[in-house]
Amino acid sequence: MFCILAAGLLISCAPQHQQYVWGSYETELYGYYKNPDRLENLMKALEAAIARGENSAQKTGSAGGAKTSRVAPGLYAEYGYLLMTKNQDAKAKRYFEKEKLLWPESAVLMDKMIKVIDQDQSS
Amino acid sequence: MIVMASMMAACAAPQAPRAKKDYVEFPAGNPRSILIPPVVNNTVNVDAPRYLLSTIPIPVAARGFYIFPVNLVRGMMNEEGLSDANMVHAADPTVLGALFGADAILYITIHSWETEYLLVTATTTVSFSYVLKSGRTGEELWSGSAKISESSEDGTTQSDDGDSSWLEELIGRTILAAIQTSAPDYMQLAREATGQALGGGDQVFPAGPYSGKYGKD
Repeated sequence: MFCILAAGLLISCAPQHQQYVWGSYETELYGYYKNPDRLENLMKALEAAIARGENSAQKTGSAGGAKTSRVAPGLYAEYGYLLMTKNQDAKAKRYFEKEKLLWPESAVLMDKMIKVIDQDQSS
Repeated sequence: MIVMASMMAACAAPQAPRAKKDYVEFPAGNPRSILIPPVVNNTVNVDAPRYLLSTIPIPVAARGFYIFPVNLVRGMMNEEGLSDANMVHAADPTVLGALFGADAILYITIHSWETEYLLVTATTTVSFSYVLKSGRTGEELWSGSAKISESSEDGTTQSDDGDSSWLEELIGRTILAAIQTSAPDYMQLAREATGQALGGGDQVFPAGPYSGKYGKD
């Protein structure tokens, strides 16, 4: 629907710049900021963007077996955070770990979030 | 090991060269990640900062940086008592840098916006500034300010000196779209701004590590 990056392709250099799948994250994020009741819409948007990012990664897998993921930076973590707000800590932790694996730059932050969950679960 | 093969591919079609600055580099180290804390908003339009925060991740990521998840960051900052944007902007950047593990922090301030009316045409001008600081050392890496105008007559935008970067265009147009609450216009300007970010043009700061242009512009 609101795939800004795909639209941008029409006027910029083609496929090699289509790095990530954002889906309608941006639109739903704004909607959520305006109205917190739209939390579910945002979560669905993240689920969809993540699924598409993961699926298209498999298609572009190179001959050597290495895969390039097209899940955008922050999406796993955003989804994990929303899961935490719904007390789905175990699932949230898996998403924080996915973010950390895909984006080493997120390690400090993801470790913090994982630690919060571990401490909650052990108390 | 995740191989970002698509990032390394160079653009096939040659870009028409635009007036470019000399090869520029960050003064110290090359940041891989950028954190965007709450925006200081000196205007009465409360939508502008929200709009900006929800739309800026895509082009900054397209420029080759890891951008921290804005909603998670917002939530965590609220919990840490860092919800006041003015306070956050005035504080030591290395505190935020250590909290999030961020190489760089992009502080944006919206100064003002005004609409001038001439017969049936309304021209809105937004004025803002931004500073990119190192999350490691606190030093300033980059900064800029701009005034971006949009005319209602033909929907064109322009900047005060006609030489704004993709980031300034993006920030400016996004704020304008929020002010004018024109969703269709936003789509168009977002495409243009993203296209600028992807396709080149005057660069506000060097490309990040995930961009095919890393080290080349």
